[in-house]
Amino acid sequence: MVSTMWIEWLLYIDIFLLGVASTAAVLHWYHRLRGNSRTPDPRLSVLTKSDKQQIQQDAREQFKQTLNAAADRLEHDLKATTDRISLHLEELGNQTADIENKRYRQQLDGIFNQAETDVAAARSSIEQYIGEYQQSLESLHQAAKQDIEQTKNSVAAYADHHEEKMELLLAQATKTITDSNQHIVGYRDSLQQRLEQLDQMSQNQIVNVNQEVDTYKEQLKQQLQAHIEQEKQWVSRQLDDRFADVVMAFLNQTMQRNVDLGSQTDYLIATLEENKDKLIKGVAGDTATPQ
Amino acid sequence: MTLQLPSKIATPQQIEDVIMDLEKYAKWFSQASIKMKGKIEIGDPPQISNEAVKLLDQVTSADDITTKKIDGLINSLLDIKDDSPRLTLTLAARPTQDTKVQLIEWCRTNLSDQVLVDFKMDRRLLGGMTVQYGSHIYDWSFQKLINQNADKLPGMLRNV
Repeated sequence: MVSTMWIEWLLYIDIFLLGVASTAAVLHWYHRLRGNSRTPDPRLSVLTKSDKQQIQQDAREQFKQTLNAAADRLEHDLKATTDRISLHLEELGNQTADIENKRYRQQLDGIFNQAETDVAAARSSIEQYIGEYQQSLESLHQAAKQDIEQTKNSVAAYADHHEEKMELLLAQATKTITDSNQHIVGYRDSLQQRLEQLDQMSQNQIVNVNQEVDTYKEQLKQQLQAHIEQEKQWVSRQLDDRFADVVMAFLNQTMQRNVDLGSQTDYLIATLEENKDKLIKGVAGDTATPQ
Repeated sequence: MTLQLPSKIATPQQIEDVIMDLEKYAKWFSQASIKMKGKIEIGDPPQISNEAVKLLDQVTSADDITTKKIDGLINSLLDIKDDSPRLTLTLAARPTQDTKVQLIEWCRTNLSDQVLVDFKMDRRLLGGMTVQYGSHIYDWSFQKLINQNADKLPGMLRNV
């Protein structure tokens, strides 16, 4: 708090000095402007122009020196103020860092202590849980052992009780299988005999059927040959009787008009008439070409 | 006037024969004209075909016959021989003269006044004819018709 007040006071002083210098500069500038516009002092009339110029030059130099001195002083004061502010700020920063560091350490110590307390509590509860769980496991293990012993005893008793029954059943099954095998062999032999008899019968029947088929084929062959012979004779008779008519009918149908195979003049003229347009077109084309 | 060819003149060869007759007649006529002027006795005219006579009758009469008209007729025949359309009819049998005339007249009536028609024979045609002019050939023969309808014959035989 003290350092902050010092800094504020130094800033106020610097602002005050800056204001004084600015005011002096403004007043000087104002007086100079007013000096040009006022009525000239009668005392000044005795001064020569060169004297006036000398005086003005001196005043200007003096003002300039004053202004430079004020600026130097201001600069010096500002630098000193800045150095002091920097120093105070550094001290202030260090103090603040120390305070914050200390407070942070205190908080860390508190958290660490709390964590140690919590871990100790958790460890004790885990140990307590393990102890309880181990006891329950041991009791369960014991119970399972007892159950296994009881089951073993009951299975042994059951096996002793049923072994005799199983042996009896096995003997009965073996006897049944033997009897069945004997029956099957007998049945197979009878089937084999029956099959051989059937095979013999079927062969005999096939031979008979083949003989009948051959006989029937021979009969059919003879009938067919006779029929073909009759057909041939019939066709031959028909051809002898009607071949001329057939040929004429074919030719008439083919030529599509009555044809006189002796004199064909009318037929030829009719053919030309039928194709007259085609011929005229062709002849006209031929005769037109040379022109 | 367009020259009307007689029906019996249908081939270039027949035209040439007629031209030869006409030239023979023209030669005789020329000599006879000179002899007539010199009042020399003229001999009998040469024997020319009836077709040549018919042609001469078309262009002139017996009174005003001239060498110029005969030459004009010969030139017309030469033009016909060279320029007229030519048909070749191939028949299955040798045609009679009457058949030839009828066919030629039909062609001249329906196709062209001065068409030339040549006849050939090919027994393989069986009947009908083929007509050829230039590169065109029309086959209207029995052979072609029978070949086209050959598949109908077995059916007709089955119906006997």
